[in-house]
Amino acid sequence: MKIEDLKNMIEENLRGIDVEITTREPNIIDVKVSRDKIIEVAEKLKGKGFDHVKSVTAVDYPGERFEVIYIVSSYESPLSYFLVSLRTSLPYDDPRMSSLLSVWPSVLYQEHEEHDLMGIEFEGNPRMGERLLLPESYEGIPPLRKEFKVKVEGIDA
Amino acid sequence: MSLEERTLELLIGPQHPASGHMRLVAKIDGDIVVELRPNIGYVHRSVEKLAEVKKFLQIIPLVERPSLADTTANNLAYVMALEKLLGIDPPERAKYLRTLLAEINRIHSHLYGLGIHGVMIGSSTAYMWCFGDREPFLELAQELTGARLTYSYIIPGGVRRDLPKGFAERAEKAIKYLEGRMKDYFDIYFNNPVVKARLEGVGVLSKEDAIKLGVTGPNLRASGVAYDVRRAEPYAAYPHLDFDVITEEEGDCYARVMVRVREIMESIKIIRQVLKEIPEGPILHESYEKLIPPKLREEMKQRGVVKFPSVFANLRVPAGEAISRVEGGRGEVVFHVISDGKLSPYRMRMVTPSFRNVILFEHLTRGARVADIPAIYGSLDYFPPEADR
Amino acid sequence: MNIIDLLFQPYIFIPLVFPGLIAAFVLLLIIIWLERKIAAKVQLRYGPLYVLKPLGGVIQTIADLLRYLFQEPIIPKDVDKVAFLLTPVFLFGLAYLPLVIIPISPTYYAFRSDLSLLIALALATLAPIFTLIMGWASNNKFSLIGSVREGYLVTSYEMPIFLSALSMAVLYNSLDLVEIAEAQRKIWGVFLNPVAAANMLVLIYMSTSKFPFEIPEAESEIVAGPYTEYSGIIYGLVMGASYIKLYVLSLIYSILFLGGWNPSPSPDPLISGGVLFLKAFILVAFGAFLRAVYPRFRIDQAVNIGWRIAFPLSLLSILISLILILGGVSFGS
Repeated sequence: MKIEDLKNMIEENLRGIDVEITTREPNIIDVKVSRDKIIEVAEKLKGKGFDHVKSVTAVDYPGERFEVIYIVSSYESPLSYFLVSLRTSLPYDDPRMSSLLSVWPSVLYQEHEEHDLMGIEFEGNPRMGERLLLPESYEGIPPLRKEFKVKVEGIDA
Repeated sequence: MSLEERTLELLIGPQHPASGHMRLVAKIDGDIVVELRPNIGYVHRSVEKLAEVKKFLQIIPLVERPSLADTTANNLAYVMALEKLLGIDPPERAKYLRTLLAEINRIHSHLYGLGIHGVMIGSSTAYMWCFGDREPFLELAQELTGARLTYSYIIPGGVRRDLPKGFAERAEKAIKYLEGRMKDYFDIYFNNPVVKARLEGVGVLSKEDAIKLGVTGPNLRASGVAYDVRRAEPYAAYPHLDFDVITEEEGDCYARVMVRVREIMESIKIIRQVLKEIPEGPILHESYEKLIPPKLREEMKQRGVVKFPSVFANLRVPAGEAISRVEGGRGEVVFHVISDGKLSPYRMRMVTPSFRNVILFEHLTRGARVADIPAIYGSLDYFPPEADR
Repeated sequence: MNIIDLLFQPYIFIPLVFPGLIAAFVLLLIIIWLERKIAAKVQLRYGPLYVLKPLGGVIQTIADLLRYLFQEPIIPKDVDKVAFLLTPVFLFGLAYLPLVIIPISPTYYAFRSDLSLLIALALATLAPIFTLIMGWASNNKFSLIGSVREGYLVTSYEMPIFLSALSMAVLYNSLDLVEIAEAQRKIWGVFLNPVAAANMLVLIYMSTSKFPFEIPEAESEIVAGPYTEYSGIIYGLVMGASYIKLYVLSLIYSILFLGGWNPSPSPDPLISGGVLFLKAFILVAFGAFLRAVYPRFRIDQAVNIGWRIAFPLSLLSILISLILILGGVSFGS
């Protein structure tokens, strides 16, 4: 299957929803959608055969926005060659979005980790509020944000 | 009597002979586990945050260290992502050498997992044998790369060292030794009736659940899903090599153990092919080789050891985003690197196979017995530092 | 009488020297070393080597014992102190109590009774209650689980052991250990009733936590089971108790099935006793060897073996004894 065919197939599938689809050779398809439509897009993608999420990445651009990227793929051939990166932007002072747990149960721990380290709320994920990797008594800025500076010791800069 | 009073809360905590660096909070009713929650994060080293302050080449040892038994997978995935951003493709010989190291690493990582599983169900013989039989492969890796466990062998553009003379004979000796030992393993351990009684039918993962929960590695293939990154998106020298993707149907602990054993035999097949078919040529990409002064270049070719060009010290990677994936011994390693043209990545996301498999602790132990917890734990080949990063 | 004559009186010699306390102690030291050496040989390594290197580290156990003697026994805060400290002593003492009834030659025994087999078996069943008390006294959830497992196992091995042993008593027409051993002059019990012999052998290993039945002390599941909180000399006592119980049961087994002291070259008690001791030693060493071969069973699988396999086999062994008697095999008075 060629990447152009897959892009057309996904465009066809998501017709009617306001999305932005681009491709990056040789096998990555970016689907950019706003945060209130993301569950709909996710369900349609799952219906097409993309059955699990490989990674949930949250990137912060201080002052502007948060971007959450879901890398989705399939265990079956021929879709297993392609990676769909489903991305959405969240405003910097309101980093909340609905969790995709109801669509893909494989995101449970990954969303929990991004909530713990980056401070993003995934509404619908039962683990919100618990600590996963940080110590139970940690207070302060979520460490993965750019405002949290890593303290440097010694001569290495 | 309500359910709260009947259950005993058992903390199989970090101070326990068979828990690793994590805590399993188990609620037990008699001998049956009602609920098991893994409590991870005891060895969180913030690899992702540190990667934002270290230079690109300094990150190679950083990402290797969490997955101690299978370091080549992390190394390879990270460097593949870098190469996608830099837009270079390593020479063929370097690709074959990368495959060679990856397969040697897969063999001794599987033996590690099998040994730990053996001691968790009580067979110290399996533990001692597996760890003893790792030694020939650790020594092979030491001959090739200079280190026993964390190799830092793969660099952007190629590999760090060439094949030493006589390596093929020594590798064949090590492989013949392991093949000869396999019969003993099957006689004492894998066909042992007590082992079968402990592992068969325990912790069954159905195919639908495996796909739904997004598990990876031999745990996935033991449930009947024939997914292997080496076939789905081939990298390094795998497009030219002939090997099978091992699957089993039952999805219980014994199937997971059998997948690992048979994958060791497949890796042996791959190593033999690589050593026979490896092409001649350079081991570092020409655009970097050009940057090394000519005298050092001659010494480099003579000794077979790469001298880093000075540009590596302050490597600037063009802005962009790259996703790479590699099939490690334990499963699929995914790297997502976002660069903005500076000396360090803007964001590096590293998803290790153990982190994707944590959910199986909750899922498989529901309704199992207390004695099944170590049996299931060992069969998942879960490595706590790799999950916590 | 002077002290030497007093020492060689059977009622002093047997419980105290041979096969009593001192011989049991020596056997303990040798067997622990032998277990580690055999396991090491199977697992491609050396085992204990450095303490007295020319002899292969054979006094390693004495070095370990000295370490246990000097180690601080840590008593956790909320344990039941009396129970915590006294149960190892009782466990060790009761484990070796049946030795008083074992005869070592047709004429040399501490005391003779018509029911000595029953006395030996009954005394051997006293020890597990103290394991249960130990688990309760330790104030530790793992110890509790371990001791409850021991309780479960006791219910599954106790009855088949009694039935297998009593099937031999039916065959030999006597419950007296001396007569049972004497009746095996021509042919050993193991050839007459192999079902009972095999059954009792496996159950002896189940009752003393030898692999594959090392369930109450399963290290990877419940740390050390009832023995988790013990350190120092009380730990040494407790670990020794399980080997002593195995030794006692092996002596009883040798008398029932392996001919006791037959064939003995001379009626001298020490020589016959030596033959008996050798047979028991081989059984104990075999139990130690199993550590290198088998993993451990789950508790429900072991209880299954006790009730679904061992119990019917023990009933079958009684049937075989009855058939043999009806077929004309007869012993003694």
